[in-house]
Amino acid sequence: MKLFYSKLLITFLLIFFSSKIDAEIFNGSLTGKVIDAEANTPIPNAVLQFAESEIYYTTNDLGEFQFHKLNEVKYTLIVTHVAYQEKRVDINLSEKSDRNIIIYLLPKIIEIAPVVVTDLHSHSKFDEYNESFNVLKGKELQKELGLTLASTLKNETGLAIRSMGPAPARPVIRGLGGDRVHIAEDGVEVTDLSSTSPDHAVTIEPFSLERIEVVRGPKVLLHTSTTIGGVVNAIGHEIPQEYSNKISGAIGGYGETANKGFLGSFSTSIPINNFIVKGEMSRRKTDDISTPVGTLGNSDISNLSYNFGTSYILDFGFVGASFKRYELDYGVPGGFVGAHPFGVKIKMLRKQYNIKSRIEFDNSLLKNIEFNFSNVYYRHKEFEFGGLLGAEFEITNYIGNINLNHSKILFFDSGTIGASIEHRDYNIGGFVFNPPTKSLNAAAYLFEAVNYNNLSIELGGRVNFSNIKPEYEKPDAKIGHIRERSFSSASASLSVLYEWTNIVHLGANISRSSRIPTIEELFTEGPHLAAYSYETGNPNLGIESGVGSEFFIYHRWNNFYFNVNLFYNDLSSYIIPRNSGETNFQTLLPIYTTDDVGAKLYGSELQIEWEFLKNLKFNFSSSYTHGKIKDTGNPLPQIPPLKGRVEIVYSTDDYSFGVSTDFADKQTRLDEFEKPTAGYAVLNSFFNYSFSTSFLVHSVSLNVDNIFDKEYRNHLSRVKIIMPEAGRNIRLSYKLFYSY
Amino acid sequence: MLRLKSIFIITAILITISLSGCSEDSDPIAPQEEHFEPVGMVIFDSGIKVLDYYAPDFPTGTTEIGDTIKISIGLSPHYTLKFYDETKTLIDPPTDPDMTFGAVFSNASIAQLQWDAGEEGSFAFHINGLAVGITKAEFQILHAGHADFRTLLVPILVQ
Repeated sequence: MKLFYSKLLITFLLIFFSSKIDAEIFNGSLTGKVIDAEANTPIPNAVLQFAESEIYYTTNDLGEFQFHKLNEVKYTLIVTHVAYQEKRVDINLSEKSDRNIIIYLLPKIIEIAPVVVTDLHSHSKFDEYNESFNVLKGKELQKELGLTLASTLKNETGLAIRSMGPAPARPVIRGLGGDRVHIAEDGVEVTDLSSTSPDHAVTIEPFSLERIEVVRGPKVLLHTSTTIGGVVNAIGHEIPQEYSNKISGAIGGYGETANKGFLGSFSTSIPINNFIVKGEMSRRKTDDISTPVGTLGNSDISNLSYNFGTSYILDFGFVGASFKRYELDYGVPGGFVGAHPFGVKIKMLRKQYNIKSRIEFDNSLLKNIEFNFSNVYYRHKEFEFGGLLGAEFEITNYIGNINLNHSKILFFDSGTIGASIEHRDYNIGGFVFNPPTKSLNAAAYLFEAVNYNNLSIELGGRVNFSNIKPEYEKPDAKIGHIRERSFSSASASLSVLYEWTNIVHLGANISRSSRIPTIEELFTEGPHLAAYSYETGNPNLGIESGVGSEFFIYHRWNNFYFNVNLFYNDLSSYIIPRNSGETNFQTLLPIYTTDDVGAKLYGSELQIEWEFLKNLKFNFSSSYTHGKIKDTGNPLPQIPPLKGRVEIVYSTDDYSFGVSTDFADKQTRLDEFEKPTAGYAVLNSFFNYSFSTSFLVHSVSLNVDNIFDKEYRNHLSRVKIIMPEAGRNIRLSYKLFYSY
Repeated sequence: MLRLKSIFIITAILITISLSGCSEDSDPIAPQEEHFEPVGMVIFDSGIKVLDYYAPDFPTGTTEIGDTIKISIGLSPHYTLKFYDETKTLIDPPTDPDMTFGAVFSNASIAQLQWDAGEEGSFAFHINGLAVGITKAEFQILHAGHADFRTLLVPILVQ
């Protein structure tokens, strides 16, 4: 405990001593710095001009500026930059605080480049829409930072968390979980087993990410054939893609009280001739999480992650490589029916080599070629209490893809044609009955964008071939004939966005989705100790498929935005694990069977942002999903209830402060053997402050979650029966960005 | 063209390095083995049933059986075991030396398992009553570090 508080104290002292108190007397001077509001990096070459005169100045490499011999007291300063939105700042030099200022600029949306999912700046009306509602970045990302990728995204509209303790948590989009939500890191699929079982964690550390995108619509087909879910792309740029002649990076720390957890993180990027060398490291450790009714035993986490990357960058592109090692040890709580009384420990490792290249062409047709290749080794072991090995899983994965991004061809303004291939060697050991399996997946895809007057269209298609080959056939298996399976599938998606007026946009999407069953869904037959279930697959499963549609209205006018989204997914085949209500008599674990049912999922999402007074903003978001089995009309399992957030935020360029309430309705629409969950409303608050000293930018975030220590439960948590979610939690995070 | 060639060469070198770099961990994966799959267990004392447990007889959600094994302070008689298969036919314990018998007690200060010298982990054992009281035991067949079979909690009364 003492160690924890001394770490918090050191963090505060660091912040205190690194700030500089300005005590100078007004002498007609104005100094300051211009900073990217999302990346917290200085902006060189920004132009500053007083509205009342012809005086102007350009910021230096550190984003700094200074005016001297100013005669007037009040000015309006106009700040412009080709890549950023113009900003006007009212200055009163009689106020000491106005004589040394920080000005934050928001990146501008420029319609120049082709569609590249991981690009920082977006380019079309669709990207503008997604950038507004489906991207978490900069200060907002720091404010929402949680233990895991899923907890960081939990307040994004339409997203929920499926969990089994704090570490094993995965995002669920519109009630769809598992690998229907494709998780990628810098555009490359994350190789782990988090999509296969609720006790498996996602192997991404959110603290060092630059931004997180939730991709929907036709662009999803660049990654996966499952269009009804979405892609969560966590962007950290492990392989640098842009040249900078400065040494830059960030140092960060994070602490929270509910689990006495802390994190330290460091990253740096160094230019050497035409090379950029980048390194990152982070270490996280937490104890068991405390709730309003007690401590959730065996919920501790220990994580070490580091990566190194380098790129050779020239004007015609780059080629780069990176290595990453991610280690995660965590507990899966026990103590409920079927579970081990003391829980299970999981030890995880992911090692990954990435190669990435982009070659630009002067050709008017072909804009550039992108190439990615990754070699991944993943392994995790599940230990029973006392160190007995229950099961272990090992994956060796080779993933590659090539994208040809084109400029205007015929009536398409831009687009991508590409292909991908993945070879997975899946090995299983311990007390499990799945056969070791090899799989090969090959895909070809196309994405195109068209803008015609007020109409923007995006369309995509993807064809997939998969071969899944178990090491041995098992004709007499209890679940059916375990054998080699091959699948071919096709998916397509079309989105239309109509600019009705310059403040109102109408949009629609229709897509044909397909998903090839996973190895676990096909061949699993046995106990899964950490998931506290006896899982049985179905080797005769076909492709999961269906049609998804949505309609949305997007209104953006000065200080008032809103977005209403209605969706309807009709799946002729939907593969789900369901509690059969039976028990396996050897292990006493509840039996979960893999069922293939027809299903309908429909619902709505609403987002409102309203700046009702200067600097004072009201935010509201909510989402609702209704899922049912087509034949019986019975509810689908694991569907989140109506949930949302109400928030009031006061923000200036330097700081923001707000209070919010996260709420959820009760969930009583349940599958057989599923337990209901009560509704809740939980009050939170946050404070974020950014300031600059010479070549440093400091950003501090303080959050108090669940202020009233209220007992509430997440419907999608497997441990909700034994313990509620975390109690009152104070989170402090600090990031120091440097560019020298 | 030269720039393309140089990019391709660098990429090819990097791929070669990465293909050889992410090899298997030096720690080999635990092998999958045949598992003993009984669904019940009978404890005998010189041919007399001390405990008759057949898992399918208990509804889902049951955590504890109704019967109690009663012993006195000190070593119990020498117990032997048989198991039930899915047809409720009694079968002999496994002969694989990797499979051993064990138990987890809720209060190990009241009772513990004990074997005759040289027979530790075998399917013939004593229960050692250490103190007067009641404890609960989960009997297990342990195999390569995990439990192939486990019983519901069995109350054990030490008198």
